[in-house]
Amino acid sequence: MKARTLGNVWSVAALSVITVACSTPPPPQELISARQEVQAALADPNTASAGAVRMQQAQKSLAAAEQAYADRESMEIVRQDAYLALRNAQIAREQAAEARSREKVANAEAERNRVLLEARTAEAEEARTQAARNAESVAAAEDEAERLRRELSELKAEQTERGMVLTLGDVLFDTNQATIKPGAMVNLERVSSFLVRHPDIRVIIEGHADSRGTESYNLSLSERRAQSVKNALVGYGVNDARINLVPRGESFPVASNATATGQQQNRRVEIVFSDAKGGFNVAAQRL
Amino acid sequence: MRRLCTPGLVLVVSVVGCASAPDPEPDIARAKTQVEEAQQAGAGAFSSLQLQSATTNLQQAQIAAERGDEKRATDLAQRAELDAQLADAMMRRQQADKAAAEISVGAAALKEEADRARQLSPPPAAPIPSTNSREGMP
Repeated sequence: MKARTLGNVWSVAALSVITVACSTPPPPQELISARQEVQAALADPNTASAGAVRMQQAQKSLAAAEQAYADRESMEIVRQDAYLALRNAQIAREQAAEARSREKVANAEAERNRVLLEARTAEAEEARTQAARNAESVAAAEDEAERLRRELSELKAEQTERGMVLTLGDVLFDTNQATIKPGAMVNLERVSSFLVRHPDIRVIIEGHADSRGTESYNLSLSERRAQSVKNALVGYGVNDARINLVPRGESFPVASNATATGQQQNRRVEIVFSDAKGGFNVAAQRL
Repeated sequence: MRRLCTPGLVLVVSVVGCASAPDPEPDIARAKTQVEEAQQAGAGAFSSLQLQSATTNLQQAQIAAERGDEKRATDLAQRAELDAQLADAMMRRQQADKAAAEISVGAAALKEEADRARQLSPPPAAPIPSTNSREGMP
């Protein structure tokens, strides 16, 4: 083409006007821009995949523009092909950039799902561990309560609604006195040692009397007997802040006051034990 | 064909060579569709210069066609079409960029939250609930 063109130029018309027209002009700005843009697009690693079609068109148009320029065809043709090359290369680069951003979105979404899944897994794991821990501590607490019940049973305490209750009968006191008989002290020593070993447990010491004599005398006697028991426990090392003293007088008989045996049963001191944490079953306590 | 319209040949085959320019109407119609689509998609907000160039080239193509300059009309229509396509590509790219920026912010926040949740030491074993209480001591 080039050879023929030149041949035509020289053979068909040796006019000066034509020779001027055929002298090598500087490349038009469009061609320079197109070259640069196609170069930049080729350097972009993503245009080959995301902008493949446009790259092909850009290169084809640029080649046509270069050819037209080399052949010294009209600048209009060079400019037109260069323009098409420029635009296609620009589109290819935009497509490549868009593909990169879309990939980022896809990756971020995948990462987001991974993090969410991880968090959910961790949560489930934590819930499982917590449940196991709770079950363990419940079991441990049950074991502890059972052990305490057994120990208190050995001290002759009995399970009641109010908690474990140890009853010190009338025979353990001197008649009409608050003095504890020496034989009873052994059991109180064991109670004290139990309380010292379990410092969270609290006790209520209730003094009770029968209905003989005046109410105030009975109240006073029940209080003095309860106080004696408290003194004994404190004497064995139990902190007196753990002990509540309640004189009950004759209000809570456990047997009939009509017989001597019943009266003797009603003269008593009760030690009510709290649970392992120092709590009482409040609703069940006497008012 | 247009290669025949070189300066050297103009004198010899001039009118014959250049008169066979293609009918610009299909190119104009295609360019018109592309420009309208880009406008409707809102490309103007992302690539106003390119869209402006598209409409200008389209108008010039139509004017050239009206005055019978078919070659010029075809060239301008092709330019308008590519201008519109570039405007559209720029819009899509910027929308994707925006989505990527937003999701990476969201992902960072999520990850931070997950890390913080992980670092929180497991809470101590819950105390055994008790119906009993020291408060009600007689």
